[in-house]
Amino acid sequence: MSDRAAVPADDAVLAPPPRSPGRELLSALLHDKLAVIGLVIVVVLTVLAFLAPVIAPQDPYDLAQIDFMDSRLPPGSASLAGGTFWLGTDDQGRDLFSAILYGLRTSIEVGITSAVIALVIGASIGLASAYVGGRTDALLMRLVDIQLSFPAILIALILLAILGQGVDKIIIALVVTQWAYYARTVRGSALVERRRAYVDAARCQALPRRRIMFGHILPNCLPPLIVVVTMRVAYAIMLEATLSFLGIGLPVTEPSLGLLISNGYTYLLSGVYWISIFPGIALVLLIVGINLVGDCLRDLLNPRLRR
Amino acid sequence: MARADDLTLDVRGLETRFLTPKGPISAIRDVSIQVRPGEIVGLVGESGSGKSVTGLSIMGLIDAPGEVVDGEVLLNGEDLRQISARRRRQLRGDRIAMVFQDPMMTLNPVLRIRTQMVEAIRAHDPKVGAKEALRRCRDALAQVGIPAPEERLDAYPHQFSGGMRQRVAIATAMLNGPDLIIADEPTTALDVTIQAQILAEVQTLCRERGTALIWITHDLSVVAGLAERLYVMYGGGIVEEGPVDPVLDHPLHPYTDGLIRSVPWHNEPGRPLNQIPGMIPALDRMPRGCRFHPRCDRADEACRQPVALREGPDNRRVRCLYPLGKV
Repeated sequence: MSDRAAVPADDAVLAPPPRSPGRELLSALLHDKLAVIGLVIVVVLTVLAFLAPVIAPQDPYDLAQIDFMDSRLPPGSASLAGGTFWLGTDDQGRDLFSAILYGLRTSIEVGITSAVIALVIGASIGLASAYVGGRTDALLMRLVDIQLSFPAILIALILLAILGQGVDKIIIALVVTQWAYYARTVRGSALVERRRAYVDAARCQALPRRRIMFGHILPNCLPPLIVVVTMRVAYAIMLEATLSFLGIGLPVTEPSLGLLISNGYTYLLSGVYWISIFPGIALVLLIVGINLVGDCLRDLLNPRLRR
Repeated sequence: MARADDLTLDVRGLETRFLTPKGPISAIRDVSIQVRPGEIVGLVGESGSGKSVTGLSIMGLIDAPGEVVDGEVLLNGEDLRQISARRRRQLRGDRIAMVFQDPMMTLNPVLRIRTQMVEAIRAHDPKVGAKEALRRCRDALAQVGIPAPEERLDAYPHQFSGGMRQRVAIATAMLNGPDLIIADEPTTALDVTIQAQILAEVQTLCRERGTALIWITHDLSVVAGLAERLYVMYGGGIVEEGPVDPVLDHPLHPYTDGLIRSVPWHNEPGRPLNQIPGMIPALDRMPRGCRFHPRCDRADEACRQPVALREGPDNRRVRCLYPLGKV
């Protein structure tokens, strides 16, 4: 056996220890200044949001903690209980800082949950469409076309009018408006990938169809998909805020950033700016952060811009 | 002619058609190939002669708009075209495996070698434990001459050179100890020294394990050193078959002769290289009768009629009315 172990020269130098593509991407991302800024914003906001019950000075939904006499206090005012309202209070006397933390949490939860569900559904449909081809493909893609020809907000409005309010309802509405984007993205890449020789090689080994689709083709479709996911999460959060602002999104008992903005909307012109502006800034920061990361991911994952 | 059950592979009258806007076109027609256990068979011909389609048709990997329309593909006596899809999946990758031409693309770029090899084992024997599967992968890699297989299992395909990748592909094909491997120009993209190493390793492996091999290539010099028997394809059909040495030393078909003369080896320096005049005709413009007759200097009116394979000396067969030498 030893005579066969003779090695061609180019392999004598062993390659560096193999790293997974995911880790390489992460390290490349951390070398990009804008991406790091975006990442920091997103991570800080997310951590703050999920630690809300711990760090918020007040539980904005516990009526016992809210004093109506504190309503519409400007930022920095002292509360009757002795604390300080750093970002002021809203028209019911709620501490805005606390309300924003809780609102952020709801917004992020709804955005990510809906994006993940839409991703799973959309990616499966896109993959199946590309792999099976023919009539199934044509049918599914026309469905996607129809879906995409309606503005997302219109579909969401109609759905919520039918379903009513609630976290689960708005997640359903967001999934319905988003899956088509994932389906189209995955189908596009999968059509290219399924023509590659490694798919033939996998079929030669008689791997199950499911394994070839999800284990071989899907990982090769991930680069564009990752970009679409980040952008779509941002869009889902924005869409949810819009719907809540319009009063048909989340119920008052679970306010998101959109509802907070809409609460202060009526006072905006009378000088009580903080009720709307601060939740607005939080929303903008979150969206900008996600988009910064998404932009850099797109550059990193685009083979034409790389190397 | 050996009986079907003595043969590892017995292909009879295989025809594969492709639907084109101009109508159905046969890419290969009346292709018959016999492979005995442990035998290395060369399948040669120029680009477009139907070698790869033959390989894919045997594997059952022809996709729409293509379709195998006629013939039998008997693997150990079982007709791959008649058995259930389930049985076909059992055989594919287990009893019959394939190695493809482009070593850059036959391995999935985003999966570790370990993942790809282990699943090739598990696809046919889900009960194999993780340790046992890994041990088999290591052994397979070591056998094709990959150093430090332990570390290499964790590598990604892009960390291998072309030759190494093709070794991995061959090791993967060998994993389940198939009876037959179809190798579609696996060394064409490699330089000659690597090619020589891989050929030697494949030859030894096949001999040790009794694996039969169909080696598809356009390179006569590869076949000359590797194969025991030879099938020459032209225009989607077999034009000559027989043991390698007699076929290469005294070709019967004018096309085989032209192919051998085209190898620069036989030429004196300074003299113009030999060529076969003309080009292989497009599939939709195949001439009637002998498909080679428009390029053949021995052809006459009779060659416009269909020509049957004729038996020759030394178990040889040729599809020609006016073969070189005696039939």
